[in-house]
Amino acid sequence: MEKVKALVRGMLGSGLVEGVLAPVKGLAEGDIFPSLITEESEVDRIVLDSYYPFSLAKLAAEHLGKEMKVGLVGRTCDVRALIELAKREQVDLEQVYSIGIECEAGRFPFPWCQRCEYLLPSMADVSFYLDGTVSLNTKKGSQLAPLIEAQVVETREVPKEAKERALKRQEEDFGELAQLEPEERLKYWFGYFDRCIKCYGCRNACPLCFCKDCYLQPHKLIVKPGGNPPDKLFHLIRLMHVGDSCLGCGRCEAACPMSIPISRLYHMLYKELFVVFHYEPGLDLSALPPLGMITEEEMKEPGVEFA
Amino acid sequence: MVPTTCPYCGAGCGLLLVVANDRVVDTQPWPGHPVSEGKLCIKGWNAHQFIHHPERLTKPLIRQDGSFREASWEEALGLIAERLGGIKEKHGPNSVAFLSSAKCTNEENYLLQKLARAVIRTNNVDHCARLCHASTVVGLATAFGSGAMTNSISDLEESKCIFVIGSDTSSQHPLIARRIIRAKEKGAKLVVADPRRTHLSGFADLYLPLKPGTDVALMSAMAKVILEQGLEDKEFIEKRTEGFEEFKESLESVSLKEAEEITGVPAPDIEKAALMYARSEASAIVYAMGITQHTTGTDNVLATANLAMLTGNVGKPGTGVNPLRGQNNVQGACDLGALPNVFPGYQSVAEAEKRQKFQQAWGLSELPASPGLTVVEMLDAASEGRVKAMYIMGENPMLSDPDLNHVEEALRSLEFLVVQDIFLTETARLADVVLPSASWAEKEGTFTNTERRVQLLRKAVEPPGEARPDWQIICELAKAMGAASLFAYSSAEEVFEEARSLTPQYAGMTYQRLEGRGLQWPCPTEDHAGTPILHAEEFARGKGKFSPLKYKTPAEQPDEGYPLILTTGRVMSQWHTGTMTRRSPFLEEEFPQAFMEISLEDAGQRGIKTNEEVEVISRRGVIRVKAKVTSQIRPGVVFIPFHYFEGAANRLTIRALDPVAKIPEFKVCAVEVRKVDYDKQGGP
Repeated sequence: MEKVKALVRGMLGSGLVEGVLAPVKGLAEGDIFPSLITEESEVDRIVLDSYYPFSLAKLAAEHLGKEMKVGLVGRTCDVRALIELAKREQVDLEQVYSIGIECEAGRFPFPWCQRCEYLLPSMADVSFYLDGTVSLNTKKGSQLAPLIEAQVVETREVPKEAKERALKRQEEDFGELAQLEPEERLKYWFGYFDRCIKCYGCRNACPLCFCKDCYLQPHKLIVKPGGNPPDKLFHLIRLMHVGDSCLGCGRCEAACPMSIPISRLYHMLYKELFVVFHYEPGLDLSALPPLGMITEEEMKEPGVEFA
Repeated sequence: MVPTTCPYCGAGCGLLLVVANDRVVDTQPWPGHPVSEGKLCIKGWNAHQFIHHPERLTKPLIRQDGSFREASWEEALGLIAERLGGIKEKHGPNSVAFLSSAKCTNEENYLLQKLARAVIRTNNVDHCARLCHASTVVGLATAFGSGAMTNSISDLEESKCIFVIGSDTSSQHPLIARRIIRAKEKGAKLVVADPRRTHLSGFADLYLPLKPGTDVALMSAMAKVILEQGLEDKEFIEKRTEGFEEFKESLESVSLKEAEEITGVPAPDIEKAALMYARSEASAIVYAMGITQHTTGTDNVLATANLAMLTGNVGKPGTGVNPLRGQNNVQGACDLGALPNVFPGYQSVAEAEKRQKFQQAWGLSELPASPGLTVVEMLDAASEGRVKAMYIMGENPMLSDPDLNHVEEALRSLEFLVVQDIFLTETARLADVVLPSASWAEKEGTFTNTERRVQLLRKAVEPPGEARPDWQIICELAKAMGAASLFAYSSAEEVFEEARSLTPQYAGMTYQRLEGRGLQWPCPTEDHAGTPILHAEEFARGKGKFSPLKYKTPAEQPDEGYPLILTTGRVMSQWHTGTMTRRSPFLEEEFPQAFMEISLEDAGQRGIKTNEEVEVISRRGVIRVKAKVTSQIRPGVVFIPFHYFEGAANRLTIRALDPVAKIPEFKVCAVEVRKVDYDKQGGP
């Protein structure tokens, strides 16, 4: 992964970007922070082999502004989030060089990682693979060629076995719930919702929750103020807002102090909608979220069930 | 991203502050933090929201002809030095009193007590620990020899049975509630005792809705059951404790039936709770202000210690007596001697040897030997004219102390009042001089959380205007009072270095060692790794001490005129007197107004419906709040959060004190509730 750092140094040194967002070493052993690296001397702090629970894409959208030329070094889920945020006009992809890092199948124990079908960042401008090679996937990526030290290969797609492994895990996690009677399913989720302490952590961590004026907040007069736990609506509104585009990245669940399996619910609903719309978020900038684009005919499709 | 420590509760979660253009624009969780592990509560996520509020104090203010005018630091400090010096000269050192702050750093607390003791020469220094956990400090010191949480926050996950009494953990220490939920996921039993149906009680295997102020009766009855069933840990009692026989004798008169009558909890449930606690492999007690804020606060704490020792649940993983301290640095403010009876490290001012140690360190001939006044005593002394001047750093007694009408009268009767704060609080409005402080994000220092973990606070931005860190203000005031050589520090770290040299529990800590995970005291040497679990081999006092206890009724009982019990507390998105949270839009909008929880029965009898305005009346005052009719509270009890100036619960509360800890009985006073009749009173 030294080659990734070499590229970052090159991008900063050449003045191509003002900074590079990346996960860096935190203060304690094994700790990891998000950081905007602006000096070449800080590049060594980048950590690429650890899990990180924050969304660099969201931090870019919230804090860097659309004009700043930056790089983003992250995992596939983060690069996909960047593309979804671009669709929602929260980032300008022209200004961001995305450098994706391959995830090793089964490397991270979190259920959302185990369910992930997108281990290879083929949608990034540049993909670094675990074998040390690199692919330049876009025109923007090709511009970086002079700064690349690694062996350049063709863009790779996720191997079949890895995808099957993920789908099998999804089947296990979602199938168990799908078998429950609707009433039992509600009981399962409402039981977990009762744990909620309304920290808004799931919303704050979700890369797709970008609204500045959020419908979950009391002044919108939908969800009641206060509440430990809040109204069930709290979760359902958010689910309706982002369910069609859920990346399954697990940021919501990683942020939940009460260990509510939020990602399971969102990912599961997304999968139910996928059957109807075949929408894959975070891959193609021109494909738009289906619930905004839905046609009357599609609404009549059978088989869409509430999770 | 500036890694730092949350300014709200005693859990001490890790935050990353996002800084842009010298402004803190966002808060993110700190992924690998030992307490919060990348999660936060609503307050943590929004901890930055008040930092750049337009109402921040930016210049010193001096009262002139009834209103404030801006002044230079030189003038303000000069005036304070002159007035405090003059009052000390004329009326003696004990006519001056200091309130230190559990919101401020360890370094600042160390300095304020040093200013009081070394410059004014009085032990009149205290802070709001008196109002929340004074009974813990006294009670656990008596029983175990150390008045702090015995185990660690993460260690709760190791427990097989957690007994939560008097703690709305999900609202007030959310990241600790997380550990309790996780323990439950791993199969632990959960017992919750509280007059209100708290969030956590919804997950309890057993919920005990006890009457406020009957904790000793409940826990004594539990101890009785444990002994009757032969579930006590005989070996532990024999080897590690003393006073067991007297304790056992004291339980002879206790009966389950009587306990049921006193507490309102059915006897079979008391028995079940006792068995769950005693039979589990590792049982932990978690408590908070629900048991400490009573005239029997110390007894309540001793009762938890009795239960733990009786069953050998001390000194091992998943066990212990775990008080959840309220403020971010209330543990540290106590540790660093912002208490009237002890120097830093709980070293008694009455002991000549300890005085000598500090005299030598500070190069002084004589430090005052008699313990000073506690918070409520200071205000009493002020209204009686014995205390003439007060210096208040980062506290707001005009909302936080019991019986506010009395507090106001006391503060107004002072000859001179100085308040040092980040906003013009209700208390600051009464001051003669107001000094603008830097907030938590604008200074360096350390905070000590409830599990005794000392953590760094890191500066993210500059203070607004001319505001300065509290530690600098104290140093400059000391200079103005002619004590420059005693307060010649160029950084917070230098203050810490001096403090640790005098505080045995902190002796092995350095700023460098505190990077990352911090250290839990005691940490006596620089190669010591800190202490996650206290009393492992032996108790801090040698042997654990059982205390025979007798149930005593609260100071004020309901009667015909005031038939309901008022209990006070907090809500999840507000913090104490609201100085910070009410200026944080995301937090304020969740709980924007004062309210009173009342049971369906009591509301029905009075014809009160939810959202109607009611008058709540005690012998000390009257307030108006909105009613919230709920099944979540015991009949006979009403609850009002104390955050709101416009409906201040503490206008009603009583100044009755625990005789040992001097903590006021915030959790019980007698009130009546009436629907506001606008027809009679001429409109709202």
